[in-house]
Amino acid sequence: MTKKEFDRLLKKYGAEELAGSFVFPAENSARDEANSTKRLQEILAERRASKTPAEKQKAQLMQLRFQIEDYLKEKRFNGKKTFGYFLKSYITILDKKSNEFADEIDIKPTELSQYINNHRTPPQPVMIRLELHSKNIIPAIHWYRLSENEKLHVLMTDKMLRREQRKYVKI
Amino acid sequence: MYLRREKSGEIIPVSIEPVSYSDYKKITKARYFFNWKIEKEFFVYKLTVKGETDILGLISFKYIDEEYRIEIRLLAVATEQTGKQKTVDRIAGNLFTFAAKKAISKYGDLAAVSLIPKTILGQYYMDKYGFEQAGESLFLEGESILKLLNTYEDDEERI
Repeated sequence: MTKKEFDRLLKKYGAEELAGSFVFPAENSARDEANSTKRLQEILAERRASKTPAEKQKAQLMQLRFQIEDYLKEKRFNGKKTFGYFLKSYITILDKKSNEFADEIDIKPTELSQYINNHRTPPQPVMIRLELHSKNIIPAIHWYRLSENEKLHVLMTDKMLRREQRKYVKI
Repeated sequence: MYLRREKSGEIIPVSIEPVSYSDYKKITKARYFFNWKIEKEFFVYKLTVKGETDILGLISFKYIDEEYRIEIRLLAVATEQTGKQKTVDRIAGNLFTFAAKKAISKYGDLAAVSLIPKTILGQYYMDKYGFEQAGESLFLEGESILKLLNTYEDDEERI
């Protein structure tokens, strides 16, 4: 975009509206850009170094939430990204032992192990407990949709179940 | 994320998806201000009303992995939604928020979003979206990202 084009837009809309509607292409020289990037790197390094463990953990939980959302948006089943996989990631971010975490959401360690290893689907109350435990960062509906995803996949692909059920159908 | 209708305050859910090759035919400079075709090598996303195809806004950014940040290269709201004639608000804010979510999704607690503004616009990005200054760059990080997410994310339209 030329300076003339930018000035025309500035005159038409004003600076506030332009900032509310555009990011214009950067026109810095390579040297300016290097200087600008260097300052940015310095400030970001300072900020990152001064983060508290609680701030880091909160950001990591948000990262997990967005990763779950990205996966659910794919609308394609991935055998690795199960309810248990994301639950294990959650516990890892919190840096908790399984027994300790199971106690915090009032379930038995064996039950937690079954959820993590995808041997059992958690009931909705447990999903609500997970939401509350994350201080609402990861909503229960995310856990529910992960579990639903797996059930749909089984429903669509389980050949053995189809063979077993055939005997009950008269056609 | 959602838009808000200017007069009625009605809330309109939005969708933000990657721009496809066929989209580029309708992304003209006349409506979206820039030559978006040269952005094809970067990550270019379009904002539409959920369930509709008309593009109301565009953003292009790149991942700078070694610095754990996303740099916004270009953003534009469609002509008819710019200035006094606009009928809905929050298009650009949603696109900034989308970039912030992508940064957190990839870089976690190290995530940052940056842009290099036209000097005359810098203060407005800081006032409206919470960007902070670092030399000639502006950035969002940590608390400023969370504030933006709180403003533009809503509970019901997370997926």
